[in-house]
Formats: sequence, C-alpha cells, structure tokens
Amino acid sequence: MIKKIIKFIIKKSLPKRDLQSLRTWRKNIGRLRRYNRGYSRIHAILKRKDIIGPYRNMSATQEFAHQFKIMSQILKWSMPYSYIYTFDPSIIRAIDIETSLLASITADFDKVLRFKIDDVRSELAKCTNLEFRECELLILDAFTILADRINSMPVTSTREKWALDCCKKMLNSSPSTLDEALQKILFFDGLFWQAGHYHIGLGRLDLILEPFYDSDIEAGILTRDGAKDLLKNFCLTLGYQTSAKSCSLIGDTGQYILLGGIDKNGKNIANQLTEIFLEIFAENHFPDPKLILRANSDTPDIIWEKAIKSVATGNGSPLIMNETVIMNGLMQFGYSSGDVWNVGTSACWEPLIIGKSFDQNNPLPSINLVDPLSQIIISDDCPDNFDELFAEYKQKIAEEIRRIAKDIKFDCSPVFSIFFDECIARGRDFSDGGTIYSYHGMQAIGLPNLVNALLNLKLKVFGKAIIDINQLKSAIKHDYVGFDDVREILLSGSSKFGKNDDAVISVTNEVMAFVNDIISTVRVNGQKVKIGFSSPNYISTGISSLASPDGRRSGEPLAVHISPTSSDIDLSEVMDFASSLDYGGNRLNGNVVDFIVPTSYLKFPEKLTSILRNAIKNGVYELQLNVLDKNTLIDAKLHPEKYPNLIVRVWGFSAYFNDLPDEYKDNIINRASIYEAS
Amino acid sequence: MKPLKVAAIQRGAVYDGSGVRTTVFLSGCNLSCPWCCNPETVYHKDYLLEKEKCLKNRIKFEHICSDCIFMSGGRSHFDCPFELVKPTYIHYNTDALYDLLSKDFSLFCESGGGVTFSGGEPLLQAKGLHELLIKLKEKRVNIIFETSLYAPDNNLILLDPYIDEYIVDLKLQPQMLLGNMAYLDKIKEQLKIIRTKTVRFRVVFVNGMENVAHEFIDSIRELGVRRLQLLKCHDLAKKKYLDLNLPFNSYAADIKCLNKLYIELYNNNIEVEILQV
Repeated sequence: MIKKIIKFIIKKSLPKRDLQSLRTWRKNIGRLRRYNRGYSRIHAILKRKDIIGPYRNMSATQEFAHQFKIMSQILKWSMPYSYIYTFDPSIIRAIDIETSLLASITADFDKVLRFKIDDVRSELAKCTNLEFRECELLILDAFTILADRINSMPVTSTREKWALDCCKKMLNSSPSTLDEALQKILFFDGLFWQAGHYHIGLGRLDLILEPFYDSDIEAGILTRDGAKDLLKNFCLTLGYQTSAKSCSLIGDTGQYILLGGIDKNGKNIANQLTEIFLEIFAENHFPDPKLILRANSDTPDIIWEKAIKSVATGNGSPLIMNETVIMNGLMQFGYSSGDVWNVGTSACWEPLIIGKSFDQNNPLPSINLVDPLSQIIISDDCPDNFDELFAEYKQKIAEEIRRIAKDIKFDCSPVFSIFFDECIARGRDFSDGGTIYSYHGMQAIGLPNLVNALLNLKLKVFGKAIIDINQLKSAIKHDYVGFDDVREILLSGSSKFGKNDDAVISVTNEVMAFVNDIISTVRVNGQKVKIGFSSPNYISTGISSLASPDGRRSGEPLAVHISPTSSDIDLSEVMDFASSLDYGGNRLNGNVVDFIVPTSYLKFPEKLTSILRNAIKNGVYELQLNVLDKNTLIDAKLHPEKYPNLIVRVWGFSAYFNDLPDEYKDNIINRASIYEAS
Repeated sequence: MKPLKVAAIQRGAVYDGSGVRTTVFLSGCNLSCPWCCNPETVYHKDYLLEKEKCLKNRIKFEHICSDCIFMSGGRSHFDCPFELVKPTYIHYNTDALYDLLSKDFSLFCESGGGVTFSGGEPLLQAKGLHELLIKLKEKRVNIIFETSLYAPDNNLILLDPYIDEYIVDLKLQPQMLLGNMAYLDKIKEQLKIIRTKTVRFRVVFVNGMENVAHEFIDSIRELGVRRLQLLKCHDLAKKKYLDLNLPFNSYAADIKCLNKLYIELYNNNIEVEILQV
C-alpha cells in the first residue's frame, strides 16, 4: 500500500521529462533489482543508485561514450583478491528500453593484452567517420581518466602499489609478466561489464597467457604453484560479483574460460596453464566463472583426466566442445576457414569466433517445438492421420519461426569497437557492421518432447490404435486429469528420444532438418541465422505450454537439451544417438548432450575418459556432464543450511543449489532420479 | 546355427573387466543357486510379468485397461499395451549380435575393453557362441567369460582358444557344492584346460560361510586358488522373483559375517578382494 502511494506521489510530482527518463531506464532498474536481490524498483531508486544519462540530441554511440566517460570519473573499483577490478555495479548506464542489450560476447583478450592507447589513437586518426572517431576518442579518454584515478589512490600495501604501477603503464605497454597480464585482463573485463554489456567470456586464456607463464618460469620469478595462486585469485576476482553480473539466475554470468583445442597452426594446446585451470576448478568450489574444454581426437590423456576430476566435484565444469565437428560446421555455414581455429562460445555453448563475432546467441524468443503440436491436436479440425497432422505441424512451426525472426535494434558498443577486428578500419560501431561476423542465433526448445510426441502419434495413436485421436485430444484438453492411463501409455515404451533406434533417429533428424530448412530462409538484420536445439528456457517456456502428447502435463518443464527422458537409456546409448544426428547447415547454435553421470563411472575415471573420447571421435557436438546424487539434492532442498557449497549445473552455468528457485531445484532432483534408475 | 538366447546386453560396463566393456548375459543355467540374480534362467521362464507396470490398484484408469483380462475383460496380458509381459530372453543370430557388439569396437580399442560373456552359464551355448567368438577375435576384441565352469568340457575346449580371461564363479557355499568332491574334481579338470589363461576366482558370499571357513579354505586350496574375489550377496533381484511368481528368500550378506571369513582367509594367506554391487 505504501509503495503504491509513493508511486502515485512520484508520478504526480515529477516533471514529465523525468518520468520519461525513468521509464527509459526500466531495463537498468531491472538490473538494479537483481543486484539488490529483491528490492523493488522504487526502493532501488530511493537507495540512490547512480544511473547515468540519458542525454538528449545525441546518437546512441555518442550517448554511450559520454556516459562511459562520466562512469570512469566516478566508479569505485575494488581489489577483493589482490587484483584491481573496475566493475562498479552500483553505477548503471541508461539504455533506451527499445534496445536489446549486447550479451554473450568474447573479446580477444590477446588483443586486449597488446592494447596500446597511442597505437589506437594513431589508427583512429585515419578514420574518416568523424562521429565514430569522436566516440572512440572519448572511450580512450575514459580509460585514461580511470587509470589516472587509480594511480592517484593512496596505497596501504605493497600489492596495492604494484597494482597502481601496473595500471599506470598498462595503457601504453604490453604486460611483461603473468601477474601483469592478469591485471590487464581484469582491468578491461571490468570495463566491459561497466559498459552495460553482460555474459562476457574470457576466451582462450591457456593460449593467451602461455608466453607470460613460460617467460616467468624461465626467468625464475614464478613457480608453477605461484602461478596457480595467481590464477586462483584471478578466478575469484571474476566470480566475486556474481550476483550483480547474473542474468536470470544467480550464477548465470556467462563468464567462461576456454581451454584446449588447436591454435592458428593446427597445433593442440595442452600446456601447464590448461592443467592448472582444471586443477583449480577441481580443488575449489566456486560456481563462477566456468570452464569449457575444446576437445579433439588428440586431446591428451592428462587433460581428460583433469577435466573429469573437475566434473566429478559436481561443478559441471568443463563443458566439452567437439571442436572438429564445430569448426567444420562453421566453415560450411560461412565462417572463414582462416578464422575457425579461434572458435569460442557465447555465454554458455553457442559457437562464435573470438574477437571477430558480434553474433548474439539468443536475442529472440525460443521456438517452442512441442506446443504447436498440442494446439493442432486440440483444435476442431485436427487431421485424422499422421501424415496430414505432421504436415500441418510443419506449417505451423514455419509460421512461428518466421514470426519470431525479426530484426533487432541492438545497443551499441564503442568500447568493444576498439577490441574487435575491423571496427576501426571500417569506421563502424561493433553492432553496426563493424565486426566481421554478425550471425545471430535462435534456439528451439522441447526437441525431446516433440520427438516422443510424434513417435507416440505414429505408433500408439495412428499405428497400433491403442488410443484414438479423440481420446488424446480430450486427455490434453483436460491436462490428463481423469486420463491417467492415457498418460501412462504415452510415457511408456522403449522408442524414446535418446534411443539409438532407427525410427527415433529418423524422426529426430527429420524435425531438425525441417527446422533448419525454415531457418535458412529467414534473416535477422540482413544476416543468416543459426539455430540450436539447446535452450535455457526449458522451465519458463514449459510454464506457458499446454500438456503435450509425450505425456508431459501443462506447465511442467520441457526437456533439457539433447538429453534422454527415459531411465532405459544409458550413457552409451545417448552418445550413439547424439553422434547420429545431423548438425549441418544452420544447426550451429549449440547442441548439448546433457547427462548425469552415474557415480560408478567416477570410480573409474580412466574408463569415463575413454567413453568421452570415443563420443567426441564419433561426432557428439557438445557434452555437459553433471554429477548428482538424488538423496543429497533432496536433503539439500529440505535443509539448505547443511549444504552451503553444493554446486550444480543448470542450463549452461553452475550455481549454488541454495540460490536456485524451487522449480529449478525440483527439476534437477527429478532428472537425477531418472538418471539414477538408468 | 541355433540362435543364441540372450537375457540382456549391457553396454558401457566398467566393472566387468579391463576397460569399458559390453556384457552379454546369456540365458540358461544348469545350477540353481538360490540367490541367483537371473532366476528366469534357472526356472526356465520365458516371460516375466512386470507387475509394477500394471495400472490396476495404482492409478485411475478408464480408457485403455477396461478390456484387460485382469479387469475381467478378454484381452490377454500378452497384448498389454504397457508391455507388462517381458520376454526373459531374445534370440540373436550371430550376425545380429556381432553387429550390435561392433558399435563399441572403437571404444574397446580406446579403453582396452572388450566383451564379457556372462549369464546364466555362457558355456552351455558354446556351439552358438563359437562362430561369434571367431568373428570377434578376427577384430582382436578382448573376450572375458564369467562362468562357473560347470559345463561339458567339450564346450570349454571348443571356446577356450578365443577366450582371453576367465572370471570363475566357484559354488562353494554350504547351500551349493561345498564338500562335493565330484564338483571339485570337475572344476580341477576344467582349470587344466584353461591353465594358460588369466583366471580370476570369485565367490558369492552368503551368511553361514564363515562357520565353515576351514572347509571352504581347504576346497579353494585344493583348486590352487591364491587370490579370491568375495562378492557380497544382495537382494537386488527380489523384484524379478516376484515378477516370476517365484518364492524369494533373502540371502543378503551381513558384513560382520563376511569380515569373519575375510579374517580367516587372510590368516591362511589367501588374498581377498571384497566386491560390492
């Protein structure tokens, strides 16, 4: 009541212009709300968080640059784990509400490390786009202002003195040690977040930092253990503002470190830093950042062993990418063969090219694959045979895809324009044609549910006629209430998604191919679109979906990724199944097999290594492995105080179990139960 | 060639030998261990009725089950759409089973694994297995047999050239063949046939064995056993007995009893590894 009164007063007393500004800042206040963990919007404003802008009569990039400069003058940096970190979440850049934020981006931190402000100024001097040049120079001024402010801060320790000296010289020189390199990465990473972007990936740090590590070891100024301590503090620094950086759930920050894979010359990266990062994640319990491992047939045993040790802790890291399959797919799609060696991912799993991609992984609503089928079945003119029903379904999905695939007005980023290839040369902003690649992605959700539904229709409704279409229609309309036996028959049977069975694979590939064909005809902002069959929205989309012909009740979550929904399907089977799917064409935007590893496999890590290596060899696209004990999870839900550090893998990130909403906890417990039975 | 009667095939097995293996459980056995995990092979049942799948007494049904024989209708339980009736074995010809096993050849190579034949008693289907083993050996697949060796020696002679390793399940429990000299002689003869191969000995421990420890130790010494795996008996097969309408008695082992036997074996210089399912 009081809040309503305050709202009314503000509405009546504030000038229209300011009210308009408040509405414009709604998205940022939403971020404030997440940072404030439950504070209302009014409360956030009353706490006087600094919201910068907006500016009138300026272009978006000018507004950005001015705001960024002001932020550099007032932001408060922190030094939580012996590195200065420049992200101050209490200061927010105002962004037009109609604008889509930039997210899921991985800059090339090798370029960041080689950044010299004078070199960039020289490059900008040749730029003919005056407005662009003006904005970029403002950004460079902002860097200088911040570095000067840091340099003038009073020091109270040797480490602080070191950090000051580092920040003083970093703008015009490359780092000379691993420690300096890590500080420079954190300085700019913080500013990427400060700029109002999110899901910022760190990229291939084992590759990028290797020269510094080797040089320090050779010079005798660092030991392996010393490097491990530095890297641990680096990870802790990245993760200490997880709440402020999180998108929809705490832990969903998109901060990933990518390990392994080939370099520009085709040589496999598997160095001491690769091992050290894996060791850090195996020995420490932090959900953020996370690791992703690029695997190929030459990934050494030691890397696999350490990756499994990390997975065995339950933190879900690393996610495993099959780099060979992914690189081939990227080239087929249109990425240059000279660039694919540097494939990274967006926040979670969607492939892109580090330092060259503006590719947004899922800026559009997910495509709900199964709900249109339910809608057709309950309609008055539902076809009475499978072929017509499937044809009508395909038409409906095609319409839905075309409806969703719209052009997007994106935020700009004069900050990223400095660090992404070609932006300055082209004189164009990062999100306005500056980058080499801007293939955005869409995500389809509910593939396992749809395949199971289609198999049910084919075999049980129109095939063996165990139930007829009218029974199914009534059952769905009534959300299976009074139709328990109908639901049971739909849930039962061995022909299920994930089964390495010709009928199942055929239906799955047919659906994926059809969706791919439609996607290949649409464009977003004039560019081709990628499609993925993994999506984070399996719970939220499920809530608004009808009951479905796979036996799923209305409101229940949809199936996660490319994962079996039946306890009859074990790890070997689902790997075979996933290897049989066609990931060609536009099917690039992430295809994750999400599996809960039986604890028996963890007793034999070398055998699990063989299974995973074999899966990669056979063409599985991406693997996300969880280690979950159902009883522990149930106990953790009832007694969270006993499990403050229990970490689980959610859709593409790790989170403390206690931080998850109940529906996510229930979903994870349910999945653990299914996998325990298999 | 007579097709093989296969009770189950488990891929990705990590317990049944080196590397990652596929275990083929053959149907049929000539012994009647009261704790057998595959009672359908002992009692020669072709089908079992998975009662927990039956909706009667479980949920409200109106549409599908009303004409079932359990509801006084006319539809046989063999035609149950919920697949209530499950065959206890499937017939495989050599080629079909080979094709299935070949899916994991690269995994076997990767992990140092192979195929384990278990059961039931796999040696009883020696003629059917012969051609399959030849084909597997052509691909250099590692082959392990889990067997009691209580089968015609001709069967063993036929297959031994293709088998790399044996896990021999000794039936030296008081309820089985402990104290049976004919059994010991038989096993001794069989062990001579496979003397050039790697052999691991395994015994299912049931309560009461600790009371006849000396007789047990004498028997295994008679067979030349120096190292033994003790598998703690469990009740995981209870559901199968119920599904087969067979009487079920629990032989789940008590850890204290097992430890007593373990100590006796240790004192008699027999190396023991305790296995838990």
